[in-house]
Amino acid sequence: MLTQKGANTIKTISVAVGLLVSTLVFGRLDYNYNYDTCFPDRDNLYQIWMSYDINGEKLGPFNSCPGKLAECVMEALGNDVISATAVGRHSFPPLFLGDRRIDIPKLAVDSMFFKTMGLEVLIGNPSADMAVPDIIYLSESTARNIYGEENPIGKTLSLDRETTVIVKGVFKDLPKNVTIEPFKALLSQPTWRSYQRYQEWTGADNWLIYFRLKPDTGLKGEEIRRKLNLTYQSHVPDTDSYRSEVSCNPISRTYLQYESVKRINLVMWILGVSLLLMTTLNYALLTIASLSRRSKAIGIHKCSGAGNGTIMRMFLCETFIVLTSACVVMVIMIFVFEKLISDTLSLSLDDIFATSRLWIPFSVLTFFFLLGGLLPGQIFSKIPVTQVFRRFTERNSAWKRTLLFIQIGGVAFVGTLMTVVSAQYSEITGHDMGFSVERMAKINIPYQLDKEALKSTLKQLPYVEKLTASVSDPLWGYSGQHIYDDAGNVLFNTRLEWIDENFLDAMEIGIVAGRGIERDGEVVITEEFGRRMNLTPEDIGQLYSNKGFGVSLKLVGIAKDYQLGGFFEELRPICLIYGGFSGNSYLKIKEPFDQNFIKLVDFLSGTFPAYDFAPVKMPEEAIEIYSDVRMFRNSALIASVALIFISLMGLIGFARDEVQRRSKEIAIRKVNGAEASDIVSLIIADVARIAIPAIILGVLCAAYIGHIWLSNFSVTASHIGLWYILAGLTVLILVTGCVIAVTYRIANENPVNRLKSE
Amino acid sequence: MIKTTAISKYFRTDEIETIALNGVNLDIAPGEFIAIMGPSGCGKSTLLNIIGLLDSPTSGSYKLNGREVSALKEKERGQIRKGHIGFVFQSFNLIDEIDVAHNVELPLTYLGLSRSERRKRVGEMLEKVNMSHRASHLPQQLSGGQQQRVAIARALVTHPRLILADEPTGNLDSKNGREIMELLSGLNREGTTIVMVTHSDRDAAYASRVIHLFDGTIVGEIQKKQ
Repeated sequence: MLTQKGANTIKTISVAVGLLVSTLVFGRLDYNYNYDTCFPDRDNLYQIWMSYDINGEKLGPFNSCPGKLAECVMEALGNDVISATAVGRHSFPPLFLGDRRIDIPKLAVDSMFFKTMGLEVLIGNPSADMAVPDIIYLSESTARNIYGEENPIGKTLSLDRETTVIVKGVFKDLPKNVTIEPFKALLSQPTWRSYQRYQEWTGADNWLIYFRLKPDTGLKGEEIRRKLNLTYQSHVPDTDSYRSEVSCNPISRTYLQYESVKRINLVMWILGVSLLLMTTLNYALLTIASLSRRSKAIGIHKCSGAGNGTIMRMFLCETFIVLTSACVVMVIMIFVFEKLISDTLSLSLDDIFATSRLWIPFSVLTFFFLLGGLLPGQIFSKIPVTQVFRRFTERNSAWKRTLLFIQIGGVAFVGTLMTVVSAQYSEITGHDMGFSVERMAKINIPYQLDKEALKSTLKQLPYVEKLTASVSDPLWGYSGQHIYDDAGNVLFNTRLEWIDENFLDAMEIGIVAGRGIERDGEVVITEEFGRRMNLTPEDIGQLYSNKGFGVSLKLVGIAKDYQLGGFFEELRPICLIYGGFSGNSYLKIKEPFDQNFIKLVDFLSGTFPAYDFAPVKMPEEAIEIYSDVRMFRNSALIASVALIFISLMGLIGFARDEVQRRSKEIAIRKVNGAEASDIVSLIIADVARIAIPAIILGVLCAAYIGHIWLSNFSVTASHIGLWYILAGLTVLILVTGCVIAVTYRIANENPVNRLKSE
Repeated sequence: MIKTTAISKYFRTDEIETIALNGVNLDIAPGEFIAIMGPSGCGKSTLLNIIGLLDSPTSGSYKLNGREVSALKEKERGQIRKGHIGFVFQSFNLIDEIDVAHNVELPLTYLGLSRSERRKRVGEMLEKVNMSHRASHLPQQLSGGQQQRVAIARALVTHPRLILADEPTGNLDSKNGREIMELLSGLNREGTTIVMVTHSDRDAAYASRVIHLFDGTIVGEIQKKQ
C-alpha cells in the first residue's frame, strides 16, 4: 500500500474532501433540527398563529398576531396555563451611552415574558421590572460589551438621546437558532408609550404571542385550538366573507414546520447522505479496482499463513491509515477555509463543532471506516491462495460497475441540482420586481426632524438625482388592509402603503393610466387591485371610497403590478395613498454610486450626528432578502464540487485500472491494426454503457427534487428543462474527458511494451 | 521486401545501457521463409519487433517494400502494419473475453470492411486452420495447439504479404508444434513471406534460410537448398 503514492494521495484527498463536506452538511442539519432547544420544556411552550379566509382567499398562517391574543389565551385556557405573553416588535431608536451609540436589536416585553419563555435571568426581577416604563434588561454579552466587568444594574442608557432607561436586569444570551426575533436587549412594554394603542383584537398584528401550558395538564393540541377559537370568536366573530382562525404549536415544531425549511432540510439530507455514500463507495471502488494488481500479493500472504481474518484486518488497518491522513487534511482545510465555511453555512465553526454536535463527525468517520474497510476487505479476503502462480482475471466486475453507476448517477444528481439552484438564484435576483433599486440608497427619516426641511436639504445634494419616501420598504413588504364590498363584507386583503409624491417615478414603477400621487386625498392602485375591484382607466378621476380607508380618495392612477418582499409570494393587490415625506426616504444617487453613497453617509453623520439614518444600498438589500437561498446555493455548490471531485477521482481510478486490466488486450488490438482512437473509443464505450443510464437517472431525480424546491418561489428560472439537459451533458463530457485523459497515453504507447510485460 | 542497414537498438535506463542489436544488415526477398536463431537475450525478438514495426531502431535504416520506415511514429507504423503484416506469438495472445470468431475478426474491424465481408473472411480462415467447429468457443476452452491455430488464422485474415512468428511452437507439444509448422510452411508455399524466431532446430528446418544472431549481431547465415 505504501508504494502506491499517487493512488494514496488521490484516496486521502478525496476522502478528506468528502467527509469534511458531509460533516458540515450534517452539522448544519443538526443545527436546523435544534432550533429553540434553549427554551426549557419547549413541548409545553406554544406560539400562536393566525390564518384568514377572506372571500375564499386564504392567507397565513402568520406568527404576527393581534396584541390581545395573550389575553385570549388566559381567558380560553385559564388554569391550564402558567402564563402568556405578547412580545412587541417595534422599530426602536438606537441606545446611547453618553455619545457612544449602541445599535442592538430590541423587543418590548411584558412582565410575563421571562416566566413564559423560561429564559434564564442572571440578575433582576422581571415580573416587577417589566410592568413599569423606562426599564431595560441587557443580554449578558451586551452588558459585558457596554460595561465591561462593572455591575450594569442601576446604570442608565438613553433611547435616541431622549428617553432615559435604567438597566435593571441581565439575562443569558440566546443561541442563534431560535425562531423568536433576535434581541440583545428587552425594554419594558410601557417604555413604548403608545403600545396599548397597538393591542387590539384585530388589526395591528405585529405581536408575537406565546403561552406556557402547565406540565400536568391533559390538554391536547386540538382541544387547545378549539377553546382558543371559541374565545376569539366571541370577540371577533366570523362573517360570511371574513373568517379568522387561531392555531398554535409547541415551539419545538415551529422552525421545522416552515415549508421552506422542510424543503431545504430535505435537499440537505440528500446532499449529505449522497456525499457520505459517494465518498465511502469511491474509496471502496479505488481499493477494489486494484484487485488484479494486488491479488498475487494477497495470494502470497495466504501462502505464508494469513487467513481471511488477517486479510480483513489488513484492509481495516489500511483504511484506518487513510482515514487518519484524511483527518489531518480535513483539519488543515478547516483552518484554511474557515471563512468560506462560516459564510456558506451562516454558522461559525464553534457552532458547527459544538460539543453537543461532536457525535456527527464521529459518526461520519465510523461509518466510513466500517463500510470503506469492510467492503474491500471482504472481497480481498476471498482471493484464493492459487493467485500466487496464476494470473488473476476478473470475470465478474458487476460490483465495480454498480459502484461506478452510483457514483456517476450521484454526480449527475448533485450537479443538476446545483445548476437548478444557481439558475433560480440568478433568476430571482435579476428578475424585474416591477420597481428599480439600481443606484438607490435608502435612509430612515428620524421622526424628530423637520421632514420638509430635511427633504429640501437632501434634494439639493449634487449627487442626488431623485428623492421620494414611503413608510415601508417594498423589498420587505407593506401592511395589510381589508377591502370591503358595499354591504360591509370583506372582499380581500390588499397591501396598503403611504407614499410621498414622485414615488412611482423615483422607483421607476410603470403607470398604466393616469398619474402618480401629488397630494393628500389621492390614491393610486395597481393593476391587480383594479382587476379585483373592476376599476379601469375610465374610473380615473372618480372618488373611490371603501370602508377600509375610512375616507373617500380620488383615484388618480393605475400603476403596473410590482413584487413585494421578494419572489416568495404571489403578486398582491396594492393601494398607494399619500403619506408625505416620512418613514424611509429613497434617493436615486448619480454615478459613481459607491463613492457618492459614501458622500451621502458622511454628509448625514456630519450634519445630523445625533440621528440614526441607517443608510443602506438597496441593490445589496435586494440580494440580502434572498440570503437563505444564497446560503443554500453556496452549500449545494460546495457539496456538488466536492462530490464531482470525489467521483472524478473514482472514475480516474476506475479507468486507470480498467486500462491496466485490459493492457494485454489493448496491445493485441494495436498489433492487429487498432489505432489510438480505436482504443480510446473502446474504453469510452465501456464506460458510456454505465454512465449514460446513470446520468439520466441522476438528472431525473434532481428534476424531481428541484421541482419541490422551486415551489418555494412565485417565479422560476425559464427553460428549466434545458438546464437539466445541459447539466447532464456537462457530466457526460466530464466523464468522457476523464476517460480520454487516462486512456490516451496507453493508447498511444508502443504495444510491444505491454506484450513484453505480459 | 525487407532491407535493414546497420540497424542498432539500445535500451537505456539511468544506470545501464543494453545493446540489443548492433549493426544488423538483413535482406529478405518476397516469398522467403527465414528462421532467426540464437541464444536467449541475443536480440531475436527485438529484431522481429523492428521488422514488424512494433518498435523502432535506435539507429540505422529499415526499408519495407522500398519505403524508409525506421523513423516513423507509432501512429504511422500502425497504419503500415494494418492489413500488411500478421503476427503469431509464442503465448498466442488471444483476447480471453471474446470468442474464436471475434478474435479472428479483430484485424478486419480496423480495416473498415462490411460485416458480411468480415464474416466471410473469418469463415474462410477458420476453415483453412481447421477450427470452424470451435468458432463460438472462448480461447480458454481450447488446447494450446488450437489456440495457436486461431492465432494464425487471425494473422492471415487480412491476407498479409508478411507473417512474423515469434517462437510459434514454444508453448506446444511436438505433435501440435509439427502441425503448426506444416501450416506455416504451406502458407509460405502459397507465397507469403515468413520470418520466424525460434530456438528449435526442427522448426528451423522448415525455413529456406537460417540466420544466427549472437549478442545483437548476425554471426552466421545458412541458405538451405530448395
